[in-house]
Amino acid sequence: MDRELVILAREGDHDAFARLVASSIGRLNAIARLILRDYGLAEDAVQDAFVDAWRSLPGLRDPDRFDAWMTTLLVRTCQDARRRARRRAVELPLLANDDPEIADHHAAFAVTDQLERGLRDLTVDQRTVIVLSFYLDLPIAEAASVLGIPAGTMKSRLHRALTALRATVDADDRPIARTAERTT
Amino acid sequence: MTAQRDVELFLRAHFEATADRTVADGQVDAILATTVGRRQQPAWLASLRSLPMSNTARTLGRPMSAPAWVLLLILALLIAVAAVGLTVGGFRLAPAPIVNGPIVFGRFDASVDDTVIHIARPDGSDTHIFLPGANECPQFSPDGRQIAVAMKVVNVDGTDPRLLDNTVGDVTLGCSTWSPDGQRLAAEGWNENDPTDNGIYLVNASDGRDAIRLTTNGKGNNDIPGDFSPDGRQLGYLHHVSDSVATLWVVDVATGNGRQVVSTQVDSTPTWSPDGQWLLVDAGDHFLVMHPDGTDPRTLNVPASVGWLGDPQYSPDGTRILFHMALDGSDKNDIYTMRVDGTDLVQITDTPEVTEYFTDWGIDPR
Repeated sequence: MDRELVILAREGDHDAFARLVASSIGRLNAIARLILRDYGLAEDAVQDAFVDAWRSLPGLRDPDRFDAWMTTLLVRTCQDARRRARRRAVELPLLANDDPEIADHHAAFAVTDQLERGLRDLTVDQRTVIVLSFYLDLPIAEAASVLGIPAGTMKSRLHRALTALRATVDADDRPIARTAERTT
Repeated sequence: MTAQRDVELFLRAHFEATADRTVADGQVDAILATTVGRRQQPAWLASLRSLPMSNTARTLGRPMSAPAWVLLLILALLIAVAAVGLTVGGFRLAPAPIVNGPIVFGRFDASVDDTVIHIARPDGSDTHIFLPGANECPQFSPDGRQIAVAMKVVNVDGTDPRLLDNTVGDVTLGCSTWSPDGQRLAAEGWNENDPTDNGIYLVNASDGRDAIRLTTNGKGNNDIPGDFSPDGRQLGYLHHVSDSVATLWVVDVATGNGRQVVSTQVDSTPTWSPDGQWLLVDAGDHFLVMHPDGTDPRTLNVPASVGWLGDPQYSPDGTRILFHMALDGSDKNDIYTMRVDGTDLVQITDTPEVTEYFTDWGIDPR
């Protein structure tokens, strides 16, 4: 992120803003897609975040905070996108670009598949706290600030999200037991 | 893959592998086409945010001159002398006036990677750390002499921290608020293994014991205590129906019977006006005020271009509201006060690099 570009964009230079968009849109696309799991909704959310950013840039006091500020705007537009599209949301699996660096590739694929299904079963709110914590690596208090909630609430949300994810993954590990359960 | 640590490790690897940073054809062009015709926000907002960093209060209206302050003080002195004379003449003493005391708030501190509680005069002067280390949700005792930070009680000067019993069986107790007599705390309780235990619990303020369950969330989410009514008979609280949706409820302390006050989704715990007539809560970019029975609901807007605001608290004398707010264009909250009618906005902290939240306002213990 170029500090000078942020300053120029803050002063109304749309060309500078265009260069900021080009440099940060990939990162924001990734975040929105992980949270919303819908490519169309994610692109809408990213666009809304940039529109908000252009409108609000004069109020950004610290140019070095541009990336974090954009993340906050994006998470909020993702929440709005979820509310607007609650009835039409269709969740699409994300495609893996690379193999994770795990020695056992068979096990890695199995885990990836399990996680993919587990993440898909979570709510948008639950995925948001997980993405903030494990993709963006934000500390609890920073993530809470992004969501506008107390740190304690963030902790309990994260705990519940991880518990729900683990329950889904564990259920996948017990196909026979599940089948037997369904037949009784 | 049952261990929590394994889930977290695999999640990081999974996100690293699957995060898709590709840019769709035409996506950048669409954004630029949408923004190029739009104006940025007016300069007044930018100038509001660009004032130099300071921990002292800044009135957003026109400041009073020194002679005006002197005249005001003389007038106040005359009124006070007249009031004392009348009171003594009638052979009775007036009740001690409620005087607004200090405020407390949480500020994110990167050195502890968490929230550190700060205390300040209500104009923002003399801001300093109240309690070193990570803590949250500070609440003044009714006499203004102590502060509860979750299930820890500390003297208002930061001395003599006392850890209360913070468990009831398998239930963990968290953020708490004082009953008006100072004898009990209402605390958020949750059981990570059995969410049916989640609810609000009443415990002794002296030791955290003698727990009585006051509410049952019933949906495995959280009930978070806000404020007792001045007579102590009711407690206003935030009832989460999901992780992100919450409504305002009031519970009768004696019977445990709860009722929803308004159906509107709200974002923060409620605060009760000192005269008992109003409940105040935030709803995103504005406040909601209503009678405790839900009648006469009103929207209270803040006289600024607001991004997010929250955690409103009435001043002890009931004339002002303390809250945090991120102006549109910022991702960091500062602390503000304003009159209960939404006028006379005063910025108490100005820390653009850190965010602040968890507000409360105590009485002057003197």
